[in-house]
Amino acid sequence: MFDPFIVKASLVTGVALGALYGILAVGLVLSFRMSRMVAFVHGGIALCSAFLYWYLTADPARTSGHGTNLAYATKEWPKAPAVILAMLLGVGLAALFAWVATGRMANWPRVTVTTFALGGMLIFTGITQEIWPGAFEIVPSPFGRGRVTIWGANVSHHQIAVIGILVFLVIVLHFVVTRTKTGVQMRAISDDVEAAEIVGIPVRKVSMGVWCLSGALAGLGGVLLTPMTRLGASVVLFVLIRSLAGAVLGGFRSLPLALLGAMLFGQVEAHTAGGTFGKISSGWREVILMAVLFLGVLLVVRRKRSQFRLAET
Amino acid sequence: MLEIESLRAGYGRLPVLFDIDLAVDEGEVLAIVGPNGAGKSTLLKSIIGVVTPTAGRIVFDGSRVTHEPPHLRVERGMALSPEGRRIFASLSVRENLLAGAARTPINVVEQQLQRIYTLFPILSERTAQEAGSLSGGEQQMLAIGRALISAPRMLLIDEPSMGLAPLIVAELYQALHKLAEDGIGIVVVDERSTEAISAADRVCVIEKGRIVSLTASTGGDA
Amino acid sequence: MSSSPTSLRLPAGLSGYRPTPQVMGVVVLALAIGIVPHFVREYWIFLSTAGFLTAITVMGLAVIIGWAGQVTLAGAALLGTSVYITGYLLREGLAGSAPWPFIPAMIGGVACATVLSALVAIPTAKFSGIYVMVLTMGLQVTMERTLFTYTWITGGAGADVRVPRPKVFGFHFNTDTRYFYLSFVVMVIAGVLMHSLRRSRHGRAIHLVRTDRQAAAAVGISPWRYRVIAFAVGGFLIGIAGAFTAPLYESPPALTQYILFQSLFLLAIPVVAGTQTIVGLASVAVAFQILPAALQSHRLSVYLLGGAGLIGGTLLGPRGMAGTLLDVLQQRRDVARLRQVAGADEETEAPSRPAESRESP
Ligand SMILES: Nc1ncnc2c1ncn2[C@@H]1O[C@H](COP(=O)(O)OP(=O)(O)OP(=O)(O)O)[C@@H](O)[C@H]1O
Ligand SMILES: [Mg+2]
Repeated sequence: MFDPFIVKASLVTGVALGALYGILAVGLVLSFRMSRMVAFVHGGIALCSAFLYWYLTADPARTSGHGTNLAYATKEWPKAPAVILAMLLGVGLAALFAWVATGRMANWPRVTVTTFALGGMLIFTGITQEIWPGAFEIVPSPFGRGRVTIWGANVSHHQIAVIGILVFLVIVLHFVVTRTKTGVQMRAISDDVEAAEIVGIPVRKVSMGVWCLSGALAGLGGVLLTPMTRLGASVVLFVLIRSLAGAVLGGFRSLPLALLGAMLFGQVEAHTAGGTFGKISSGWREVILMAVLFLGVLLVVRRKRSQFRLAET
Repeated sequence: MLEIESLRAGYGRLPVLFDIDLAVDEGEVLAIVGPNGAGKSTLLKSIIGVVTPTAGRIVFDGSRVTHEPPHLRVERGMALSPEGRRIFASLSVRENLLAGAARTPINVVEQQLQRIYTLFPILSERTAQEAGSLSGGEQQMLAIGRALISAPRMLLIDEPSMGLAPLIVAELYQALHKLAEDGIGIVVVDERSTEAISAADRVCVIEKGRIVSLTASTGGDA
Repeated sequence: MSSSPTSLRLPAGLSGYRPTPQVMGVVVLALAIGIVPHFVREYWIFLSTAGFLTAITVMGLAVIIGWAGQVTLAGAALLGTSVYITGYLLREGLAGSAPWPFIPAMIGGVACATVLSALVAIPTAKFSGIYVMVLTMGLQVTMERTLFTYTWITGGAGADVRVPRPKVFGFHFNTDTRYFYLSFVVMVIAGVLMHSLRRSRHGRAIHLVRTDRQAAAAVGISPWRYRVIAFAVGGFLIGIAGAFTAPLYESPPALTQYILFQSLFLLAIPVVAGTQTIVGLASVAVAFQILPAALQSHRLSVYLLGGAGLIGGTLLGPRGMAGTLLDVLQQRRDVARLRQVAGADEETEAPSRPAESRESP
């Protein structure tokens, strides 16, 4: 019953989607480990960066308001500087947010700091809606429109690039986290903030640095995701929730598990949408994804509880 | 070397310390004793800087450090081995020690590592083990070692004997004595007040957040 | 009740002061409600009506936040479910029957929202707060992509689909002013209901569960059962708000009113107002409904208002704006009192913030 062509194509698309979710999931895990918050704000940051990138690179003739007096006067810059600017915007927004958030929140419950992050997301989203109300745009890929055939599946350069970026990121992060002084300090902070301060780790500086990094990742994620879908607040949210789901599977703490989770959700999404199991409406797709997410949370909570019991005895 | 003048501190709006005046010299061992909840740990935490004073000042080596963040004070040469160990559970033993050496020159770190491993040989056998899986006593040794890694000139130790066998406690106090002879100032808070007092040059008694007595130790030499 | 840490320390005679701001609030509000509708344009009456219904919605959220110590991101989904189900029943009835009258239709919508809310709560009852947030966000997105996309239920965007205003016990609420009063009365009933539930034995048990799970478990109160109850009551109140929103516009409201961002906007209201004074909650709700329209010329977007609310509210702390205000008033009264009591050499201890449900990170 499975059409091998569809299965293969979906597999490859799934890897690309998983890589995309993975980039955001890494940022979520990093922020959680620094600040104990589920950084919903990354959704807002990704959206802002995506809008900036689109504004700098899109062809005005292809924007939704073209031909009317509502047309958006987008610039037609080369892609590379636009990507860099978009990531820098991500860094800036994340730094601003972390500057407000960190410090005073050390003793707040996690739910409260997370609610604060939701506020950040809503404000950043609101800003884009003020400037470009109701936009739902086609965004050019930084890697052009080329496609190649790999292993019988038709893959775009963009998808290959996303996968490549994630692989690069994982290697670099793994090295930094396990082998460098900064990595040790990061892990120390996420184990026990006060003890980290006591032993002389510059906690504010390190966590600000990590926030900037995760902001850059959110910005990059925003730039990379919109060419695969379209640019709009709801689209970015749908991607964010899948990255969140991936991060949940790692209990928000484990990077490898979060990446695994992101890959899993990429596959689920690709196969349900691609038609491996026949035609599935987008509503059912969402239900299936939620079911997987729910099972994942159940597993994580179980695992945590058994660890807790071990620690108790 | 360390001077504290009319220090007040607390948590949120809850005051804990009232008008603490205290000075510690180079090579001196000061023991702080007092009932539970007197504010001993709070005093050590305000000296290292994780509790912010509401009034008064703290002077270290002639510079005011009252409102400096902890990492700068560690850089100046203070170190605290906190109450309840507070080791980094998911880091290895070696990484735990290195975490305390954020700004320490590499040759000093190597030298201190040797010292720590001679003081607590068990740690040298477990360098790659996850610290959370150490026994309670081993964790306590690790916490003290982590404070020593930056080669501090002012060492603050909170409840060091908790969970340690008496023999090791005796060794520990001998080691502290040796450190003091090298010119390091030491402030120690300990439940087992006899050991602490006998090792100390002076004894400070705190009750309800105030110093009620500050006298030369009667315990003589250890 | 932890509602006022200071009142415990006061002589009994002083506790009579406490409700004063609330009572005054009610009096002022009642006067305003009685007089204002006769002097303002229809548009503002209509907006206030929407504000009252929003107030009921956020009472539901406040129950979940205040009682269960949980944050739900599915507020708009629950609201929308009730709106569309009630609207569908009012228009079409069920399985080819004639259109239903208002009360049965309302029960249908409310039941759906209540069950849905409890359904997320049951399996997640033992999860910590952040997972509940993620899963309720999942529910929100799922509803957006399922129920809300079935145009045969929602009625689509067509303006020609009519949802009749309710006729209850023979009285037809067919003008905006009539509907305004109806919504106000429903809001007051919801508020009174919430207030009395909080004072009941169950309310106190729920409070104990929130502040100290171990203690609650020790005295035989099952924490997760009460969490489920809190979610169900919250869903019920949101359902009521939805049922009365269904005929408000006389045609099905737009989907954009029930998306995730709207959930966050709604969440901002109890976060700003705090969950402890119902009058405060209702006032902030009405203000949040009216402000964006009043400041339309300044382009105050709902998103920015909601975001600022969430950030400002969390910075204010768990008691919110109303709670902080009450704290300040109470503190000033305390200080005055202490000054009168001459010779009191005790330290004037400022009231500390009561801890919100702390959970270890
Ligand atoms: N993190 C904190 N937040 C709020 N209050 C605290 C905190 N830590 C300590 N306290 C309070 O401050 C007071 C002094 O505590 P501290 O830990 O300094 O006592 P201690 O003298 O070290 O006692 P012990 O001998 O039991 O270690 C106590 O009343 C305690 O309840
Ligand atoms: Mg102590």
